[in-house]
Amino acid sequence: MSFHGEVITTLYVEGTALALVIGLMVNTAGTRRKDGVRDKIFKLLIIHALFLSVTDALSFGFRYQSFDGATIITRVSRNLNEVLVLGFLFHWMIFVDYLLYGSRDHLERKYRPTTIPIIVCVVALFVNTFTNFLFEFDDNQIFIAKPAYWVIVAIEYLYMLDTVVLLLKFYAKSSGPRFIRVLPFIVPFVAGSVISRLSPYEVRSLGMAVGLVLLHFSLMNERCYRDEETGFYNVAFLKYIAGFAAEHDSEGGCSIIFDGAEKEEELGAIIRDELPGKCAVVNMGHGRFMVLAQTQSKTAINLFINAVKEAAHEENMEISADYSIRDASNSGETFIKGIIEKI
Amino acid sequence: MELSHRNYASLFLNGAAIFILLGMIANTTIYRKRGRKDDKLFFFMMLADIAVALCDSVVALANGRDFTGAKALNLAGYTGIYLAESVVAYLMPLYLIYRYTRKEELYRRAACISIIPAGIVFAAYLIGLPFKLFLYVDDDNQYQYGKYYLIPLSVLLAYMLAGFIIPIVIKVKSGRLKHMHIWLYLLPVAGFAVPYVFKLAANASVVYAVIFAYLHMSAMNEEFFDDRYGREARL
Repeated sequence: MSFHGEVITTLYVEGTALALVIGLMVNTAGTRRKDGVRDKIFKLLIIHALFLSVTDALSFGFRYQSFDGATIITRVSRNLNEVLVLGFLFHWMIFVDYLLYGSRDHLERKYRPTTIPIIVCVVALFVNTFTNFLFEFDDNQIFIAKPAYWVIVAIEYLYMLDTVVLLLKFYAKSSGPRFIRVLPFIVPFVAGSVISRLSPYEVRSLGMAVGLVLLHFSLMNERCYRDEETGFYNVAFLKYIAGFAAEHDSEGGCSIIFDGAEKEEELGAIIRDELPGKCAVVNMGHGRFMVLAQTQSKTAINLFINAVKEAAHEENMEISADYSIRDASNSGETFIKGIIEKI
Repeated sequence: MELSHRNYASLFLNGAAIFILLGMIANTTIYRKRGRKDDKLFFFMMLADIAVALCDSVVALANGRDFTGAKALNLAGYTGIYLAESVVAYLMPLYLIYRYTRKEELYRRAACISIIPAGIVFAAYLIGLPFKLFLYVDDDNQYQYGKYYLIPLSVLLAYMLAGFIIPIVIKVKSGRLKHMHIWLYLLPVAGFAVPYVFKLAANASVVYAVIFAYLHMSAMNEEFFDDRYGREARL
């Protein structure tokens, strides 16, 4: 069995994609939390990418082969491949939404209707296995698209466009440090997809694998600094900015510590609701939270503390609060030391 | 300009390698800020691999062509590949030694000793050019191996082998590196071996990029502010 040039090129590319995805699977196995919705969806994306690389290789690898099974393997693999792409993109939309909003209810409300086009496409692909009304293969197992196939392609790109719009809307409204970069996934995936459509090579799964790897890096970066339970910063972040602020003389601000006596989830929710803009919150554990703000106004600080206390009182919680202000009489280093002593 | 399938493969894979490496450089900024030597070494390895990918792309476009400057470009590209690979080969064992032992003295000694062969190889590739000792391009602008091409190549392979063996030795001796899946690195290494079986050229930059991606994935599974070796975490 000999292979033509574009087949060898594609197989090398698919092998690289497979190596990346396997590395991702092995290295993320220990990092997933059992109840982490985000982690479960990301695991699904990796599994999709794994099977996509395999089906891509199978649907391409038997080009110009003349043995009996070549056509069947190619046809079945390609149909499966298209189903996997749709499944991947659907899970990708859910993943991005959950990453940004963290709400399962929101997912159920928004994404139930979007399953309908996918179900229709999957049924169409199943029918296509027997009727070839979407695409077919010539005697050399080369893919030939029919007009109806481009409807499926359009749906795929619309799903991708939806996530881009979601991201842009979210970034326009939110502020604060962003650890997670989603666009570095989208660019290689779209590039791979476009090259695959315009050239005789199949590189879509390599784009997908590269994108997933980069996304994984930024997700793990976030874990360095974010507490996954509450979405606030963790103590490592506090140490990091304390060191950064000590090196770069910061202009002024305050730190407010709330103590909710082990009621972490309830107090976290209250603080999130009452939080004014331009603040960073650190989850210090055991129901204690530190809010770092740029204000030096005692009035503003007391207003915020009273708002949180009132909301806590309505929930039958008694909390305590303490604050310190960094101003001209208080050097940056002393302020930072004071924060660290409270950790 | 007509490109062969091999050229297209080179361009796709180099593009993917550059994308992975640039993404990793952006994502390892916070690691470089924590002030450890291994993070800085990793950064320079990635830069060297980007140079390999760029030179390989130049070669994919220039090899066998007859446009003005094609021969010079081809020769410069191949020389650049081997020079950059010398840098990767030199840095890799040092990175692994520092990351997994954190022993300054051992690292310094290894750096001083291993720079000699690597430096000789680096200089040899440059000095040997006019004499076609290790590589050259023929009258048809096709890359050719020089008479002594195996000598520097063996040195680079020895460094790579050291890079493979060091973590195994550390794992066996100290019992650490539980989450370093050494068998996984056979996958990118196959990226060198399998093309050789089919009488094709391997794409070094993407193989290194995959290896670096694995290394960084395992680094991310460790504590970010790591006190395992009894050192205080820098703020």
